[in-house]
Amino acid sequence: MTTNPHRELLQRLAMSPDEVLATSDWIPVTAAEADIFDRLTGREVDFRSRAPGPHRSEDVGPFQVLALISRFAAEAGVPVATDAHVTMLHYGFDDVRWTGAVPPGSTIRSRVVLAGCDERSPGQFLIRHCHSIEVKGGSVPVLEATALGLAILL
Amino acid sequence: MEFFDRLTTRVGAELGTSDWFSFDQVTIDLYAAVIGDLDPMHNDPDWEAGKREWAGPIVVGTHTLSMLPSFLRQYGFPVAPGFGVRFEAVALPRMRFISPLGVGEKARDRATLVALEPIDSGWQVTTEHRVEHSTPGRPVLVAEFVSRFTEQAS
Repeated sequence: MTTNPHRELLQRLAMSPDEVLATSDWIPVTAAEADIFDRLTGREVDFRSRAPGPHRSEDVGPFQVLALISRFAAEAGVPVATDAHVTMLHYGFDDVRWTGAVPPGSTIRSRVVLAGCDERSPGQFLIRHCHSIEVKGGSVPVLEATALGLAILL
Repeated sequence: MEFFDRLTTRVGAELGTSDWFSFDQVTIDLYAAVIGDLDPMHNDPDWEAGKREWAGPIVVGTHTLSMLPSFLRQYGFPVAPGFGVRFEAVALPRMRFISPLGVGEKARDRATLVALEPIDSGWQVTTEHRVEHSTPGRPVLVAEFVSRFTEQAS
């Protein structure tokens, strides 16, 4: 019988609640990306009122900032990608609070803390990771959230 | 803000259902690229077809979640520009992705007004959302969403 290669990592995470996993790299959030995200999610901003070019006055959409959590989690070593040995499902969020704006063209990062990793049933792990996202140059977080992932070993 | 005055009698009532919507593969690929989260489960049309609980790729969960402001707009909330009202996402106290949404599969939101509180120059609104498939069964997601609408300084 072979051991699932993800089991060891998940069992190690289960032993390390409240561990600070990492602070991610700074990533830019461009006006072009914000425009695309808005169009893909039906967010209405006043595209016609602004001059052509890279400038936009509207802040980056709040749900775009939230959606970047999976990227930050991956950088911090939280298993988020599905492969031949595991199905990784995004299970939800708890306690999301938007506390500040992200201007287009900003760079942001997340401080990631492991809140827990519990084997809910044989081969199924619920991973909870807390994020505090900040804008470079800002003094307080702009978003705090706990993300939940479900790892199903195959 | 007359809209909110009229809404005060509807706390606890269903606000309605959104239009049916779906995402094609190109839209899903663009979304994944913008949030930096390309995953075969979402972006490979041939991914594990028939081998897991569902066949073929599925929509990124946060893509559907990010439609919440667009749903509110469909219920008459002044989310779009031009109303002289500032819309802010405040919190998602709890949300869960319950069942996957397939590429091209139709879904719609069903929302209930949970709370409506006057705040300085506006209103804080709590809504409960249940995004449902076009076929009976478990929902795509459930979410409680807190947002604010305040008079925009001219």
